[in-house]
Amino acid sequence: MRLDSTLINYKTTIKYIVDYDEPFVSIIEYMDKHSVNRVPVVHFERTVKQLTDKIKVIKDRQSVDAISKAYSIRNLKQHNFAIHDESNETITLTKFIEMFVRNMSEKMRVKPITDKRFKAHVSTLRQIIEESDDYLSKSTHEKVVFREFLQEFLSEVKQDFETNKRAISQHTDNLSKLLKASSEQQGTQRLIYTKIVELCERYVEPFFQFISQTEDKDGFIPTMVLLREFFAKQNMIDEEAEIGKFILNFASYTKDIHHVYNRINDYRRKGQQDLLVFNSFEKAFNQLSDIVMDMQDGLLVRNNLDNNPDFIAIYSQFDDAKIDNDKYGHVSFRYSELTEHFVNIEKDLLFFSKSKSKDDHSSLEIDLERLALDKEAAQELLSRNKNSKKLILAISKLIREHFSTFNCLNEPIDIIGKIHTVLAEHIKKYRPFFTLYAYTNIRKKLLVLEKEGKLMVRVGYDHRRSFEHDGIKYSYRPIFIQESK
Amino acid sequence: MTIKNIKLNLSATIYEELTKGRIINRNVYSTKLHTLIDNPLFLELRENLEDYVNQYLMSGHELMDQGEYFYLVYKKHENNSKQLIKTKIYSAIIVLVRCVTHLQSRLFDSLKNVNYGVDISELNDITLPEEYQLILEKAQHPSLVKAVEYLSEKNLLLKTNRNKYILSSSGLALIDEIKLKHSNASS
Repeated sequence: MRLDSTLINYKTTIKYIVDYDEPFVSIIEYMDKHSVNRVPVVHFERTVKQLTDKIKVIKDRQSVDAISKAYSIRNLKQHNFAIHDESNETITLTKFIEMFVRNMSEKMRVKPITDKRFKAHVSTLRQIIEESDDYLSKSTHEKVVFREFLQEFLSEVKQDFETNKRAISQHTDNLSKLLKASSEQQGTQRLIYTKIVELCERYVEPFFQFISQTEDKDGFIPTMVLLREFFAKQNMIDEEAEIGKFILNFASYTKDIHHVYNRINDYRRKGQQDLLVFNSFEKAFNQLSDIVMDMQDGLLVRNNLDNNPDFIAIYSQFDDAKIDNDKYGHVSFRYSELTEHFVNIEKDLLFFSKSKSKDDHSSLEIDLERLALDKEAAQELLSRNKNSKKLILAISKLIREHFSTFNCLNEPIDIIGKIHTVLAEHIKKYRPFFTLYAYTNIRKKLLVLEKEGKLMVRVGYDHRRSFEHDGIKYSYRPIFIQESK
Repeated sequence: MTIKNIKLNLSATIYEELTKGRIINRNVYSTKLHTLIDNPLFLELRENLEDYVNQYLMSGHELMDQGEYFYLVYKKHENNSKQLIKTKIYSAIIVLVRCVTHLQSRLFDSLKNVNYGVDISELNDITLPEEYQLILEKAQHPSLVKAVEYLSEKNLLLKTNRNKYILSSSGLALIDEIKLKHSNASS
């Protein structure tokens, strides 16, 4: 058959896909990113255009045409590499080409297979076993179809198990390498942990559970044994041997997966714990933030969280927790001292208060009593002051009369003795300290006169004189004054 | 009641700690060993729990045994609608963990590990978003640093010799409670 001029043959197409895989890599990246199988034709054609534009610069026109033809949708459909859905203008890669491109590209190693696919295999296997009971009654043509189906099934199962083991191991290796290389501060570890938890929960854990159950009585391996027995009965030696090898390999396979599972599960546990805290505290924070925002309406009297019943009710610990003693002093404070102290303050306030309480008799009595006491003391002080004032005036008068001038003092006189004589003679209730008081009053005047040269004042350091009053002898150091010449 | 088994030097310290509103955790940080070690106060309480329960009961308090930590409740305040201590503790710990795991993008492990911990100087460098500041304000914490210091004063955080703070037994128990509360709410 001659090919259309817009088409190129299978081998050449494969060659160009191998050499220039960008359009298909882009399609698979789009599929993974959006978790879809169908990619818009526009997206695909744009990546092909980008590739040809790049090639134009470095290659001849013939190469550019060949690449365009290889990636034309018609050509891809022709070789069963892609399915074009004209209803919504999308393109889907066939399983073969998807796996082919994924395996070529280091960064997009084959995705692990979900456990649903393996469970489907188990289900199919059971149907096969049921159908095998009627094998002898089948026509020759039906027997051929059944055996063909069995071979395909077996091949598919083996391929899926192998692919899954490789994919899981590869992903685990990549993630653990990334985790070791990542910096804790940059927050990349959490992203990697998220990926690990996703890988583990989506693929590794269910698959591990699946293979763990394959050893059960109704599990995958015992059912496979039934199939092997069927092939043996039919003298299908190759198929019987094939299943035998599969069952033998399965033991080491389980071991390999178990190893991967244990390795990734450590990361998973750590990552899960971290994500659990992260997610829980995101919710707790948002809830608290909402509560606080609701408090912003200004209706609450005291707009603080400690008054907010919604927040208080959420958590269980620290209700009525002990407050620091320094602030409240429930244990060490003496209330009797405190009340006594306040009573005293109250008394003082009443004592100084101008307005008297008419209702409180006890406080009225205290008030009057205190006032009465004070009045008596004040009276005594007042009368004492009056007497003192009289006395001072009398002393001053006597000094003025007798000591205003110091003329005609040809001989030195003892001024202390002289004052004593005058005061004792004129003051009724004379006491010796009046003499001392009078002398200190005139002393300044004596010093001034001495300075002016009118008087000579001499302290009798080495003399002692005395006077007697009320039977008591008072000794003193005399001060002699004499008119200057 | 007999007190022959009570270590009086420890009981006096226990009294001081509890009546100051502080928590007594199972573990304390050892600066010499740079690790968490058994808290002698906690062991004393655990070994003579009945005596201590009675002691505080007689003075109008209740000694709360939370397994990994002890704290004191003042019975007179029971059924009080105001809960200053509780709201200050919970809000501070929620804001702190959110800040470390979200704003600083650190793993939760950094709050538990004695080799990591929360660094006050790093917290000072963070410009807190408005919602964080509003929560702190409503919880009567002047700043995030003050909130951390408050948690440390209450012994929910332990200060390491690297001048960083890590979660104590009571701090971890609170994290577990918050985690349980909000992971259950989502399921």
